[in-house]
Amino acid sequence: MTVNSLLFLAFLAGVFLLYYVLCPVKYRWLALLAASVLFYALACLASPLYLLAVSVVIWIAGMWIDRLEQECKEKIGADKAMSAALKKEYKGKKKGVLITAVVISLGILLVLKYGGFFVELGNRLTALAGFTLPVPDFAVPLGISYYTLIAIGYLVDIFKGKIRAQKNYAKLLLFLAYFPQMTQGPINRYQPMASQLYEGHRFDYHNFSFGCQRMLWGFFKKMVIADNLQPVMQAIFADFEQYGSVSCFLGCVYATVWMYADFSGYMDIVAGASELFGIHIAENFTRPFFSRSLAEYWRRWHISLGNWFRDYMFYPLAVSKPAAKFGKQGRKWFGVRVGKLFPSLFALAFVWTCTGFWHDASWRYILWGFANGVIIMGAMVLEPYFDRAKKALHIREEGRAWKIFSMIRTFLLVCLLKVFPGPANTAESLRFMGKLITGFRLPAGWQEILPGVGMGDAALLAVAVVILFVVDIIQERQPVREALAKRPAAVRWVCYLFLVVFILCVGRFQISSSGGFAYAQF
Amino acid sequence: MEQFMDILKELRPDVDFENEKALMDDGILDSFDIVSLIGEINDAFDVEIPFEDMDPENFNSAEAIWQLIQRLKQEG
Repeated sequence: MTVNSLLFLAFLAGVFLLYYVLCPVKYRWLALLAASVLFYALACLASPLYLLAVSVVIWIAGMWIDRLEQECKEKIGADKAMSAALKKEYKGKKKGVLITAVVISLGILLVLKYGGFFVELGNRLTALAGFTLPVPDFAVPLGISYYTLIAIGYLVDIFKGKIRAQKNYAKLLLFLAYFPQMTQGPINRYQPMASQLYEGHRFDYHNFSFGCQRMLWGFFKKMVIADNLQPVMQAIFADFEQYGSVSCFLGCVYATVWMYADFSGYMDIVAGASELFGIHIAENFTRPFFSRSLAEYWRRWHISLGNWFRDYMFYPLAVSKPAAKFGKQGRKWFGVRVGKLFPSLFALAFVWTCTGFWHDASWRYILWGFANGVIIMGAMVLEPYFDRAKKALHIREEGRAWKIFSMIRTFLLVCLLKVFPGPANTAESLRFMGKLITGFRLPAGWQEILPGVGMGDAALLAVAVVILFVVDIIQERQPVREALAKRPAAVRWVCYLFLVVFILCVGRFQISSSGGFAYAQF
Repeated sequence: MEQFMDILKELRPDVDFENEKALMDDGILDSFDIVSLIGEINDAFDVEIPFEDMDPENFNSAEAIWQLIQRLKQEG
């Protein structure tokens, strides 16, 4: 079952009835738990075992760390003079539990998702000695990259004393496996989610109406734009040797728009579905194509993943002892101005390698992460020179022309970075790059601009993309749903019907059993 | 306190840390300075400054940063 199927709508209607009609308010969280377990079982039959393993480990470890924390406080209460020694002793114990649980959870992810990659890598070395291991090909459980990060975040927050452990296993399982976040995130945090999930919500027309609107908008993005653009983009990437560099670059542009419509469309569908139950999940997008730099783009794209890396990887690494020492060395070698960047650069290099690796166990994604990191770090190091150049050229940073130029530049850069994940594998990615650089040729005809799409369909697709762009511009200034709510009912219903008709006429149905979502594969 | 002032001066010799009261608000210290500073404070004073404490209230003056260090040391 995928969120862009009729089965999902039927499932949602059933959960809606169960939640608001059959379950008493106090036990409504159980309806969500039952729905989540059923959703996950229907989505991927083999997966619940791994989810169960991770959730049990995290549940036990969470309570253990919490108990150690309470024990420490009690002992300090009895003997204040020993406070520092006790804190140190218990911190070590808590760290031991945390590391064990993280190693187990991450270990499952590493073996299932990256086992083949590492064995293949090892085989290249051992082949010289004359032996190789069989490369495992595990079926990667649906959503494992997401719920593993959610689980680790939960545990680290307990370790840091930000939250108390959830003692009720069923409630913790609901937090980890809440069905709207299950297949592609967002990577929710415990603090804002727990109270929303566990307190029973009463039916609220505002939530219902806004939830339905958001789902409709998500279906439009996914079924009209993403699913119609996907074959065009795939045609170019699959057969790029036949095309000139301009068509290849157009493929990158289509891939960028496709991924945005696909992933943010999914997010709108699941955020809307969650809103039906009065639960607001974390936002993953704030109009990333209006970013004026690549760093800003990554603060607006897949926000929950970026925040996770910032809080649990970037910050602890950037302020760690090795980073501080690296910073001191940097100041010694390059002076104060460049040296101060070293701790952040040290952490960023690590974060971007991991970000690439998180997306896929392949060299092209590692290269993609590396390229993103190099551009962002390069911009940081060169910022004073850029500022000087802008001053010399009398460029007003807050001027409209410069803002638009910066947005277009960032968009083109993001498109260009699609040379890594676009083609089928690393070798093709490198050949594709070569083609972009050396194979300049203008498209020979319409079929080299939008392969496989007729003029009429192209016009409808263009209208849909323009609608997406205009709605994003409005949303950048004010929340669209609130603005729409102030309009007369006739205007609102014309908008809804227009989208429904557009989806029915132009949208694609039954793409694949997985819904054809880009981020489900990660 | 002396060791702390040495860290600040080594990090940004151009800043008058004795008198500045809006280090973060006025952009005298940027986010890279703050990240570097936190790493060095963590290392030198055996504390862990949490991400949530990285705000102007705690980083606008040398005195405020010193108070933050003292608070974290007390909390252990």
